[in-house]
Amino acid sequence: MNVHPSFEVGQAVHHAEPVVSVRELRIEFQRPDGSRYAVVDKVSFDVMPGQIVGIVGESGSGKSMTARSILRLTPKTGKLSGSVDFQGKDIFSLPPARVRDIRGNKIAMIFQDPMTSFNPVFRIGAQIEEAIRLHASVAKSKLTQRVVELLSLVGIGNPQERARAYPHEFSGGMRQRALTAMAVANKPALLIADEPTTALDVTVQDQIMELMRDLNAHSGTAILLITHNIAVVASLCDRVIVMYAGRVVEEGPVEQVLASSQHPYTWSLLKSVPRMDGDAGRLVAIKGHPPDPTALPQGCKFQPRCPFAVRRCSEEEPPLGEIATDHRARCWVLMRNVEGLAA
Amino acid sequence: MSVSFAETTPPGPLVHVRELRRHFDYGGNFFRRKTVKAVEDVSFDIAPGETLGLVGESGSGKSTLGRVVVGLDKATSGRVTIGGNSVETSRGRERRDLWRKAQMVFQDPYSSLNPKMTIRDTLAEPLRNFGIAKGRNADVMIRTALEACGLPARAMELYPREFSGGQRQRVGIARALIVRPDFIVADEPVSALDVSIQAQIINLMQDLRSEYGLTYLFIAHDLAVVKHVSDRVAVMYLGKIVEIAAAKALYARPLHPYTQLLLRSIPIPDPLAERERRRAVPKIEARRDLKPGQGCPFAPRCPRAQFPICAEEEPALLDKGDGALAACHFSETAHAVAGDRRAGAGGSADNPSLTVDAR
Repeated sequence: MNVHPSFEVGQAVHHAEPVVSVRELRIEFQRPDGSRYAVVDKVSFDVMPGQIVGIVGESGSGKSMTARSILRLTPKTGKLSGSVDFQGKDIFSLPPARVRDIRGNKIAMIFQDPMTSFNPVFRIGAQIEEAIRLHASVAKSKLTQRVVELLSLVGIGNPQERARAYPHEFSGGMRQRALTAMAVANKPALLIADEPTTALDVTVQDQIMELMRDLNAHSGTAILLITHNIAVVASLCDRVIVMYAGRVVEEGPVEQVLASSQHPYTWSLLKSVPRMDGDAGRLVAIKGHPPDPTALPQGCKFQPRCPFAVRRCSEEEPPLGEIATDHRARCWVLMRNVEGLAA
Repeated sequence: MSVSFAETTPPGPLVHVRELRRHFDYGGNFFRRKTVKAVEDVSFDIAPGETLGLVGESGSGKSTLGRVVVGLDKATSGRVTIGGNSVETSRGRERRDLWRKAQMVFQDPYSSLNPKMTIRDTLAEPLRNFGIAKGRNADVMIRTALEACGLPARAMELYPREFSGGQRQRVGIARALIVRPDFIVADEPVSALDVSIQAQIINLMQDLRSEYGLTYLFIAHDLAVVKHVSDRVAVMYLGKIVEIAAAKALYARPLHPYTQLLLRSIPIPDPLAERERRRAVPKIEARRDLKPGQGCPFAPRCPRAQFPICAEEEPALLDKGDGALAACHFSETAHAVAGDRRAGAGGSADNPSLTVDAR
């Protein structure tokens, strides 16, 4: 796929400062009786320029909430605490108008369902034009040309004609491409992609992953990818953050975390998915089901399902400790100490 | 307690599907109907105790096929027999017996259970409908079915909302199992579940299969899951089966270019293996000028298509050796692919004029 040179954001690539830096994020909701519970807690991570970081977790793990909080897109009833530092500003303490300046501009987001992300009664091109006009004043003729460039950047053939199409005339994969075109229209420093391939067929998923890889390589846009699919993380990401019950349970470079998982949850998750290159042995299932965020267990949140739990696990929640260079896990036991028992 | 089909009937296919079609009319007017051929000329057999995996992308017709086979939808034409009884023509007792013998497990455990019925009522209903058991006897059977599916007996008193997704799917499986079916069509039984729960349900279905001698038609879009559970796999594309073969052979040596494309598209949860896979994926540009018509339906996306033949003549689903069938003018035989791998030499010796260099 050809990436148009005019979309390179060269200066972002060599910064040593993180693009976004999340510290002690906590998202609380209220029960009917007024007491509070957290769906996300103690979450801290950085996304460096040009990096692709994956957040992997199951439904209810808080991965989407975490991603949305960066743009303050969490539900109004949710109370955010902690900080999200973006280019020296704390997004949580900015006035709403300033957050709107960042949203869709410096930080863009694409969602799982490309069907509901477009307005069905406006042409695709007009909607992308609007995304550009919101943040910059561009002449009408330039605007049209820009939309055509963007559509061909994301691999949509015959872009002049396609810009005049309505969303329903696009297939799911094309809609996700168009949405990506809209998201990168203002050359964002960070693209947040929430399950961008989940609704798509595998052949289309592969194309969208290739598109993400191209955008990242050619324009240096950092990507925060939210997914439940570990294989997608293995394919795309430099770093991975594994979330469970609203917490980061393991974090590190993809190769290291997947090849030598130290948290029993990560380890079990990898053993529980059938692999294309694997044989048909029995899958190692994780017993039980993810906890209800309103009634989390004592101590480690994975402990009731963990085959390696010891007494301390149910008494005291482990910290997210540095267990190797650049590799953290929230576990008292760690797989390297029990791997012999695991087989 | 097991009612194994294999014990009571001479060997032969349990499920026999021939030239099955399901067309849907839409739009147009009285004189000019528009038709979607959701299932078009599909034939296959499933042996007793076998699991046939059915894969395809959204819109390929795999769910429609499953519904027609189990009798939830009427075929436009063609034949389906299950255990020797025709799904289309059987009436009365024979018909009821068929309804019992062939059960279905649905994708969405949230919408396939009645929220106003307790689990006991949900499971007692089929027992009553088929005149199998009532009252206390039914309770015993319900308890057994729930336990077989890994649910405690007290689940009987609860409503679906009190269960997690994985537990609801267990209830859905128990409901299918309780009438002692021979054959279960499972339509995406794990795709709505969390990753950590999928393995539980897959393991459960495999345990039940060996315990009760069940035969499955396992429909899913996740090729890794299908590989894991299936003995044989059928690949559907736009309403047709384009390849059907033993699971091991199909994944090791896919014959049809569409199967090859599908298999190459799946990422692997291991960065090194994944890098290898990506290197091996050839870039294919779809030919937008070709419209699917009378030729091969896959021709517009096919990296190996040759013209005019692929655009004009539809390939039949033919035996390519080793029990593998593929619908492609240019696919090698199973032997040739295997030989190809070993010797790195050319394609089919039988029909050199139709051999295309894939590399």
